[in-house]
Amino acid sequence: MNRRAWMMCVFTGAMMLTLWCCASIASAEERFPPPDFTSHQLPSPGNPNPVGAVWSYVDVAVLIAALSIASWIVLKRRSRNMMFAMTVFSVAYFGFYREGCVCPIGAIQNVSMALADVSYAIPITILLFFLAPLVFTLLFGRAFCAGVCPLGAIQDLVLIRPIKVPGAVEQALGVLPYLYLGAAVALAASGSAFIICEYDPFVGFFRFSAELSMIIFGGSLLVIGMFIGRPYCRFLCPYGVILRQLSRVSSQHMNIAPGKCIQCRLCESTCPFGAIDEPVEAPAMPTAGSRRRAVALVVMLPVIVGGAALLGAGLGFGLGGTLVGGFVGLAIGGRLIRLAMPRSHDEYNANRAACYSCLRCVPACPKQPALEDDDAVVPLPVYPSTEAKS
Amino acid sequence: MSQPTDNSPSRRRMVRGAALAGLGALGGYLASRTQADDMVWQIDPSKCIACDKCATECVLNPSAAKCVHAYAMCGYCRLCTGYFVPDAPELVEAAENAQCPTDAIRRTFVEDPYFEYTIDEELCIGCAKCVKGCTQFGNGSLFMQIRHDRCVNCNECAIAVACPEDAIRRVPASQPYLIKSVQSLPPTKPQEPQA
Repeated sequence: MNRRAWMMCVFTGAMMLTLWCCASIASAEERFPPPDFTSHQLPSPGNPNPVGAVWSYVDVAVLIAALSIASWIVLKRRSRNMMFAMTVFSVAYFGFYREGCVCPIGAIQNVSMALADVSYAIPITILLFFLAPLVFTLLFGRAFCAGVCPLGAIQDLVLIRPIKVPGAVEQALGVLPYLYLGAAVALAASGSAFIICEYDPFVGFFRFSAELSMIIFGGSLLVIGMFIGRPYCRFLCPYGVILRQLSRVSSQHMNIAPGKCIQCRLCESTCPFGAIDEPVEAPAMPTAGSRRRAVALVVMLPVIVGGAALLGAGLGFGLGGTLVGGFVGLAIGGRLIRLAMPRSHDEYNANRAACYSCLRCVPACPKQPALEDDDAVVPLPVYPSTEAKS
Repeated sequence: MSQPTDNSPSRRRMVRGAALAGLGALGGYLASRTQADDMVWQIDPSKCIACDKCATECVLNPSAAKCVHAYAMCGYCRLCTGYFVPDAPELVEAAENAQCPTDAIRRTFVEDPYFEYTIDEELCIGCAKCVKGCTQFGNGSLFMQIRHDRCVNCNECAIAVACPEDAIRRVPASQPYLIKSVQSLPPTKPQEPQA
């Protein structure tokens, strides 16, 4: 009896398996032959074409126009009010109207993917979105961050009560963007994910739709951003890593005029981003101790890079992990070396790498306009007094 | 992190020149490989398993992914498993019998015993309930597609990230749909009609 029941079970199981196999094979078959209508005309679902193509060219044009205007505001008008208007425009257009996509930050991933994967052709508009802010930064400093980037602009608008971040914390957290950039490039190049887009904290606000976790992330960044200026830009933004290196060698940059500064420190205390360097006295500089530290760090650099690369490899991401680790190690090493050998200068200076050209320091300066205009095209009395008040 | 103000313009100019040349080379190389065609996202119907992620993961609400009907594949069945729930109390056009939660599928009588099923895309939310029903028990003529009059072509498609079958990929904008057709099916042996 038992044996018979067992046999039954096996038999039924085999039957069901056969049936299931048949069913799964048949799942893509025409189980019900389409009727052969004589008079009835089959409708067509219609396939509406993509609408985005034209808009993306408009976006490129608006981006280049906005970059030009922002750079002109920074270098020629030096007006905080105009820059504020620019940030409002960028949040409205690139943010809420165009819903924050495509942005130059995310374009890093398309470029990485196009470089790594020959079959992926990057659209020309995304390539232009990637390159235009880089070229403008090489020429005029980070005016893109100041007034064009919607992510920077929305953080700039919520910054109401800035507090200083201690220098050491700023330096340490400043390594995070390098890690983010490395991971984003590696993941995009391998075709795994576009993490910059996936974890874009503010795009959910621009679109009025996001997962709860991203709303919490973006919301807390905005709340933090009310006190600590631009937390995403300073401690996360991977595009900022590229921009700050290019801004170091920009042909023009907003700066404090030599000889006019009275060292009142008002610009330094106004800057929410710690981007104004204090004067460093020349005689105190080349002490034996600091020189020895710098030399030791340069010698140590390969060790730091190698150690970080090993750490990256140890995390188990293969070659990508090793390269990202090495890149972060290089960033840490470079940062330490730079800290170990500060160069002397006897006046307050905008730090070309960290300064977003937001122009908050301009109205704070009592020698206004002591902040230098590189070409000095506009003579001093032209500046209206209203700008000094704001 | 300080920058010298007086002694470095020439070095700075050199680095700037190198950086510009590098950007130019990168741009030129990538532009030479750029096709005039843009890429857009699309669902591969052969991979789609008709989960409901398309309805919920898209950044748009309602989703840009919607049900599309390949009429040439449809059996025009009276008992449509994409239209009716499996245990429908009655085979009539009433909400309790319907798969579609938004009444986006309409059926019209053609000739005995055939009915034609059309999708009202304004109402369709991309939940893929009808697609599942049609694929499991019918011809699979209902399938999911991203509709490009709605899709905003995000750089990283949120549905593609969430898709359990990796069914969403970039396709050239000149051919933005992966439409199911009788030819696209794997060759099968003829079968007896079942209903």
